[in-house]
Parts: sequence; C-alpha cells; structure tokens
Amino acid sequence: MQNIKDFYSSEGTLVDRIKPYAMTLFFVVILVDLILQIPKGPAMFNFFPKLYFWIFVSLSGFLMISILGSMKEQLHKYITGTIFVIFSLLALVGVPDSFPFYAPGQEQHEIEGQRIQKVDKIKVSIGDTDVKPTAVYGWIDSTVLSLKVKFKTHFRSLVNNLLKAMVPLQKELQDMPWYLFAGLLYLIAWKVNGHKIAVLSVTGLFILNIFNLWDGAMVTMAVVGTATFLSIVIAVPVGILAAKSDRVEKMVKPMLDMAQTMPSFVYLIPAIFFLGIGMVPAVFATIVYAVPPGIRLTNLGIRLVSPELKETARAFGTTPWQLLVKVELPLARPTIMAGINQTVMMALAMVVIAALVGAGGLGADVYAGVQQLEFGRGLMGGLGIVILAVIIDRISQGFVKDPSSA
Amino acid sequence: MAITVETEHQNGAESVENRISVRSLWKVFGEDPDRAMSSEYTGKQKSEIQEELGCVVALKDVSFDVNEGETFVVMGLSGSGKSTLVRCLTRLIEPNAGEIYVDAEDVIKYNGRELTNFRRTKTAMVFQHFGLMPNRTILDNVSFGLEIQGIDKHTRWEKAREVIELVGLKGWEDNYATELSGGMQQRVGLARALAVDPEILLMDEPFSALDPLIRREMQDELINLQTTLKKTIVFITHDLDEALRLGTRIAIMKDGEIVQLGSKEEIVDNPADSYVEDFIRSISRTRVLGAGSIMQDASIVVDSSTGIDSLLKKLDETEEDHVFVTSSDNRLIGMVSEKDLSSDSLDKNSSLKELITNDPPILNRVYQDTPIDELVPLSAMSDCPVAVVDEEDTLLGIVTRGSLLLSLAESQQAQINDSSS
Repeated sequence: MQNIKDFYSSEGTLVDRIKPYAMTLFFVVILVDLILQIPKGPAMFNFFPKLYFWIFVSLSGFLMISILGSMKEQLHKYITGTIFVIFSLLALVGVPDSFPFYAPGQEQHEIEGQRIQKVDKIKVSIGDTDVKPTAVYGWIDSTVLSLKVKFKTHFRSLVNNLLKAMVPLQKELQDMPWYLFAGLLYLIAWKVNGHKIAVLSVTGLFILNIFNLWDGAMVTMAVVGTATFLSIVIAVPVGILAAKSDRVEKMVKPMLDMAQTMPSFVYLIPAIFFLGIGMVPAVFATIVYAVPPGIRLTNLGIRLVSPELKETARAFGTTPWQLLVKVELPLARPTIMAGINQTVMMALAMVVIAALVGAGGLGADVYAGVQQLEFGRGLMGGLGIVILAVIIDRISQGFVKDPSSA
Repeated sequence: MAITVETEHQNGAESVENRISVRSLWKVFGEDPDRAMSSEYTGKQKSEIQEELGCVVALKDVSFDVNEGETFVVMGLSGSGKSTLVRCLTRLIEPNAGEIYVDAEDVIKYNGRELTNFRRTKTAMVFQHFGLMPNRTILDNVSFGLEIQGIDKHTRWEKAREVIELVGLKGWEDNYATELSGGMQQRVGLARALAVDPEILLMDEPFSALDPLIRREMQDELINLQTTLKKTIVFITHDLDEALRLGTRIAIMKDGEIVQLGSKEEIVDNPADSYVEDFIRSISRTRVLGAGSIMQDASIVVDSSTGIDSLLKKLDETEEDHVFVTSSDNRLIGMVSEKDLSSDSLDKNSSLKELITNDPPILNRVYQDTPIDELVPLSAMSDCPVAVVDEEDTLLGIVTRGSLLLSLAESQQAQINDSSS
C-alpha cells in the first residue's frame, strides 16, 4: 500500500471496506492483550468474560470473511457468515460450562455391550506445567477404540500379511554371507552410479561388519526397505493425481504439511494401538513420515514438464495414458527419483523412533544407549545408520541423473 | 456437404477436392464467448470487445479452403490468431463454433477416439519450439508418432531411419536433441512429422526460431521435399518473404480475421487494405511478380517452312530484330535474328531451319511465374527477348529488354513513394 489514505479507502465491496478496519482492530486487541497480560485459554473467560470473547470472535469472523471474500463463490461468504453469527450469539449468551472444548475430561466406553464406568482422565504434571485433560481427548480416544474394535480382524490380517513378507526378507538378509551381499551391492552400485560409488558402498559394508553391526543393519534394511517400497507405491500415484488435478493438490498439500510437521512420536501411538508392537507399526509410522517428499516431488516433476512438449505429444495423437507414460513420467523421472531418494532418507531418519515400538535394528542400539547412558553403544549404532544412509543415498542418486546429460 | 469446387484453372472445368474446408470458425478466450460471438459485437474491434467483455477474440468467423497438394500459408503479426488457427484444425485448442471439414468429415464432431485417430494418421505438426523430447535419442524422437500408434520397434525404427536420411541427418540417429544445432533440431521435427506419413502437414512458424541463413536453407529443403512428396501443407509464418517463397496461396490475418486470401501476385499487386500494404511495402514487386505479368505478344511468329525472303520483308516493315519460329501446334522451335538473315555469307537457297538458334545463352526460356528479377541476368547476356513458355513449350509471349527495364523502374518508383509517404 502506498499510504494510509489508500489503505482506508471507501471504494470496493463491503468486504474490501471492512477488511482494513478489521485488521487494525485485530492488532490493537493483540497489543492490549500483551500490555494487560490477559490470561490465555479457558481462563480468559474469567477475565472480562463476554466482551473479550465477543471481540475475538467477531475479529476472526471478519478476517475469515475478508480472506474468503476474495473467492468468487457466494457460498463461502454464506458459510463464514453463518459461523460468525453462531459464534457471536454464543458469546452474547455466554459460554456454558458444558461447552465441549472446556469441559473437564471424562471418558465413557462401551465395548461389545459391556459398559465401562466413567473415568476421569488422569491429570499429568510435567515440570511446573499442568497438562489438563479435556473432553476432546476422550472423544478421539473412544473413536479410535471403536475403530479398533470394528476392524480388529482386518488389522490383524494386515499385520500378519506384512510380517509374512518382512520376516523372510529380514532372515534372508541376516543369513546371507556378508561377502555375497557386498558383491550384489557392488554390482548394483556400479551399474547405477559407477565404480567409485560401488567401492565406497562395499567399504561401508566392511566397516559395519567389523564393528559387529551387521545384524542390526540388516533388520534396519528390512524395515527401511519395506517402508520405502510401500511409500513409493503410495507416493507416485498420489503425486500423479495431484499433478493432474488442482483440486487434489489443494487437498493433499495441507495433509502433507501436517504429516511432516507433526512430531513423529505421535504416529507411534495409533500405530501401536492398532498394530501392536514390532516391525509392522514401525513401518507404518515410517511411511507417514516418508511419503510426503515422494508425493511432493512427483507432483512437481510432472507439473514442470514443459507445456510445449505436452502439446507436441497431443498433436501426434497421444491418449492421456500415453501422454503420462511416454512423455510426462520419463521427463519427470529425475525429479521423481530425487523424491524417492528423499523418501529413503526420511525412512532412515525414523529408524531410532521406530526402535521405540520394538522394530529392533540399529535404532535399538541407539535407544538402548540412551536408556542406559552407554555412549559407545549409542554412537556405534548411530554410525551404522550414517553408513547405511550414505550407501543408499549415493546409489539412489544415480537414478536422479538425466540420461541425455550423461 | 459437397465440397468440390471449380477451380479457375485455365484448363477449364477441372474439379479439385478440397483437403481442408474451414467454415465460420470462432475461438474466443475468456468467460463469455457466446456474447462475444453474438451479433451485437460483430461490428466491433477486437480491442473494444476485450475492454467490454474481457474476452479475447482469437478467431473471428474464419473460413477458407485448402486444396490438395498446395502449400497454404497463413501470415500475420503476432496476436493475429494464426497459431490459434492451426491448433484449432486438430482441436489442440477447442474452437467455440464453426466447422472444419477434412476429407468431407467434420473434425469438430469427432469423439475422443476418432480425434486421436485423426491426429495420429491424417495430420502431423511441426512447431516453432521444435518440441523434441530431451530424454530420447533422435531416432526415438523421429519414431515418436509411430510409437504412439503402437507400431513395433523394428518397423518404426526402420521407417525413422528412412526419414532421417531424407532430411539429411544420417549418422545422428543415436545423438540427443541437445547435441544438435537449431537447424538440425528442426530437421528432426520435420522428420518426426514425415515419419507418420501424414496427408496434411501443419507447420507453425517452423523456421522462425532459426537464423536467416539456416532459415533459407530449410525453406529450400522444404520446397525440394514438396516437389516429391506433394503433401497438403498449412504453413504459419509472420515473415512475408517466407510466405512468398513457399506459398501457393496466402491468407493474411489481422485481429483474428482473414483480411486477404489469394495468390502471391494478387496480394502484391492488389493489396486489400492498408494492413496488407504495410506488409508488402518492403517487398520488391519484381521479386514476386512473374514474367507473365509483363510479357507481350511476339510480333512476328512464323513456322519453319517460311521462306527467307518473305521473312526479311516482314522484318523491314517492323522494328523487330528477332523472329520466333514455332511448330504447327504453337510450340517454340527457336529464334532467328535479323542479323543472321541479312548477313552476306547467307546462301540464298538455304532454308530457315539452318539459321534457327534454340539454346541459352542466346535464346532463354522462362515460365509465366518466374520472378521478374531472374530475367535480368538472362536479358543482359543476350540481345534476344526472353521467351515465356508453359510446360509444353508453347510460346505464350516474350519479354523485351525495354519492358523489363520499365517494370524495374516502376517497382523502384513504387518503393520510393511508399517510403516517403
């Protein structure tokens, strides 16, 4: 904006005119809030109860309207308007004690006809902070529980099927003589990225072997390998869908942001709850964390294919499927491969956290080191993970290279 | 719909089937195409409609026919809608209204599969931006169209090798596009289009991204190829020189409309409006107009049995120095100069046949559409007027030094007038 006068101009729609005032008011309230040190959270209703809440709600309403006002659809305006009115009325009447978010936490389960009595959620204290349970926790927990009850057999068969694939893989990897594994790895690395990387990889394996990290490394490989494979199976199709449809992209992006910013420990809780202890929940928690870069870069790679080349292909009579398979995917390959590389790295980063749910492997060494304050043990486990990471990263970088620049 | 037309060919009623017939084609970019196409806006300028409705009218009621085997050039400045037009022909851009008949079938009415099939077999396109896949070798780029058709590797490579040789890129099959110069890349683009053996070639400013020397070379190459391949070509360009060199007929577009459509002579000789005039200003007329436009009837034409004496008498009556000799069906046999006829060494009994000269550099033959500029060196080397003949060697007329000089002078004068106005 050039000057204040322009900012508060009286031109444009109602929303345009209200927007600057709403923004100003919002910042003023925040300022007053800071100066008077008004308490936050439910406690704030004890202080100046109705008016404060009313101001807050109306400001959020104004802001939402002003943001959504830029959209063309009238519908959005009506929805936000309705929300605004409901919150305002609620604020005028006063927030009842039973207002869901602030009610004290209780949970009430009913499992297969058997009634379980109401239990107050335990109040937890960490340091000086009280972590108060609220009713929302109970809602989520009971939903999750009922899901588990409903799909018990499905989860069980899922775990069994995955284990059927993973246990032999892990066994095979552990039982294989290390030199055979090294030979295979040398061949793969040489084919993909040349002798230099191949020598580096085998040297890494040699180090793992002489420090007795071999078994752990193989378990970790089994978990990371399975998680990566499943991640790719999910990431590439979703990425393609997101590239093809702006709507899908808009829906997927916030989910990916959340998956990546949410502390990864959180995924462990439902994973254990549904899938028990062991490699399977570890794989699932890893997938949630490792899938986002795969989806993002697949989407990006396909969107970056030049419109001229797509037009050319269409002019020669490609079907949408041919366009994807013969033009878009090959041209997006370097970017997709970079995404897969990132996926593997993310999966390795989850190894220690996965050890918490009993996935074993090198992560377990680190975890044990932390628990018993054995620095040596933790460090060697960590080094093992680093060596694995270097080997996998260098080999998979070979796929990223463009064939025409080779 | 019957789409045969009587062409105005001099041979009379020869009917040629149109390859492509476009009828009232409209394309409007924007939110309200129907209003922009309605009658209330027909009289308005493109810029006015854009201001009022926010719509860009790219094609406004465009109709034309393209004949079998001709090179139909669409010319216009950028923004005149010419690239949109060529994309509408294969529905790479979906037109809003109108009909496009290719071999009597309406392309607009095609469903998805028919359209795909049409794009695969009937047409092929060459782009200004080349559109080569950087991840494919030249061989795989050229065989792309065949690959899309589902033809097996062996067959399509064989065909691709053939076409690569045709465009003069033999030996480059296994290279990548980035390793080639611009001109060579466009040869690959051309080869890729030719590989599918299309009946119609659509060329969207194919040579515009090339430097002038290479551009000229590629134009010659296309002319050469066209003499043997005889494809129906729709050629888009913004360069009048290119249009005049390649085009059988030229359509000039402005703001989405065709302002003039005709042969190059018609356009240079008789521009429809100031827009076309601006285009042809820089063009020297003598480079475009053919010898036919300035030829005159040969005043003395005789057959080979004519006696020398009577001929000399005829020559005395006129100022002519040369006599053209033709056979009974009016084919040119040769020329006899007055000098030869009246020379002292001439044996009075010898026949006219022995005096006839029939070869350059003394007697030069040109066609009606040979540019006037090309007559200058011929005329400078020989006293004899240049003979204008058709493919059957029929004498149509002659161009004397005088008339040649006159036309050059006129053309120069016209250019001076243009640049001073």
